[in-house]
Amino acid sequence: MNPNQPTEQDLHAYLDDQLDAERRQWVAAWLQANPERAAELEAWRRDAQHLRARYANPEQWPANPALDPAAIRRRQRAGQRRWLATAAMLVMALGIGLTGGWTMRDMTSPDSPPPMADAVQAYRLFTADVSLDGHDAIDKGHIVDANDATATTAPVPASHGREQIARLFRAHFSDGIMPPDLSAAGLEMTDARLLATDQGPAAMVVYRDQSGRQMMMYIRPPGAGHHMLEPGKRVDGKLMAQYWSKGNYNYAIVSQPDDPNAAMLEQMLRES
Amino acid sequence: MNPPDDDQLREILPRLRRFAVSLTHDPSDADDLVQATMEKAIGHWQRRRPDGDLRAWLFSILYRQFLDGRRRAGRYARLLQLFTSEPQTSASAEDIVVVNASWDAFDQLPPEQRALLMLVSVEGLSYREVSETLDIPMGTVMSRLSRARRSLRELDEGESREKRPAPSLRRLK
Repeated sequence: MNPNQPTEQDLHAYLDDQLDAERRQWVAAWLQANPERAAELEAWRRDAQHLRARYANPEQWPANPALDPAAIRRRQRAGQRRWLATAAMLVMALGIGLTGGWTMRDMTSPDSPPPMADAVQAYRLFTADVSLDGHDAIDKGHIVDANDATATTAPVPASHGREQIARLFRAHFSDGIMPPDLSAAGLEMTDARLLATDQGPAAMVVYRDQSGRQMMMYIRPPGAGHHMLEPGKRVDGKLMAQYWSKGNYNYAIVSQPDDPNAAMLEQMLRES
Repeated sequence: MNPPDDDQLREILPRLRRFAVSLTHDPSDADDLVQATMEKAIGHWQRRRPDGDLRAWLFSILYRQFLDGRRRAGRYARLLQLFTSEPQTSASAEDIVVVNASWDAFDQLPPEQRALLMLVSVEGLSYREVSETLDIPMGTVMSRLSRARRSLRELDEGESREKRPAPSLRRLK
């Protein structure tokens, strides 16, 4: 590089006014002596001016409101909200999916019938048609229906006394509630049976009042997954079932809906 | 960190649009580019060097966005070419509406050279700032500047020799 001659870099820096004062003066003096390079530089200067003129006054261009920072910020916030909404929807969909799946599982699993439906079925099976076929309940109990899913043992005739029933309960429902003696209220125990369920033994005890009206106490283990019952009642056909959980068992009283004895029995059982 | 100052950004906005037009040739593409730049700038405000020049930072975001867009467009064009076997050309310089005069010679320069000339001659950035904005070494700034000015001269002289057409009304979009 010739130290007596500016570099190409110097010439551009001269043109763009990016030299210090001393060097600028030196380049200017050199250009005076080199008109050819000075003319080239002059052409570049005109080009720069041309460019500046072509792109002059951009602030006078038609405004584009979409480019305003406030508008951009608004859109970004909206985008964020959209994103959050989408995320929330996904979470919700997942929740609905899980809940739905759980509900479906409940609905499709074999445990899906209404609470204590087996109690109502037992009542129907062993008490409802007594008056129709003329047999008394104890005799009927000797017939084991092979089509019935729940096997049943032979009934314990009430005449054999409370002692036998108490033994049965102690054997199978050690910490369960004993069927109370309601003879003072004119109610006889007419039938007691041990039944089988998926979760273990259940038992039913039938009471009959003096007018022949029957009601039933039912005890069974909780459902699958140790599912305890919210206390409730429901009417199923011509029967009413009241049910609740206590200790390790579910209880039900199945009766005719207007039977006042059912309320008495329920109160006694729940308070014992 | 201070939140982005909208007034500061508004002040630079016209310069960003101008830089974008010089790169894209198309005002609506240019505004898309500016919008993407503003979104990035506002979203990434805390990554800004607090002592850095806001204008240079915004130019550098815009230039990077432009290059990324061109790479994507290039891939797309190559893909199209596979199906149509015809090269896709860029938008016509006729679409420029906002610039004051036709200057085909400048528009024919490669975008890297146009960006450099805009930043040096129009925006008046120092070579150091240009090197940071375009993310190229100082040596490359100088050699590219030299090439750009010589190319522009050659193209312009060629254009003059071809008898420049009389100035006519520019098509507005």
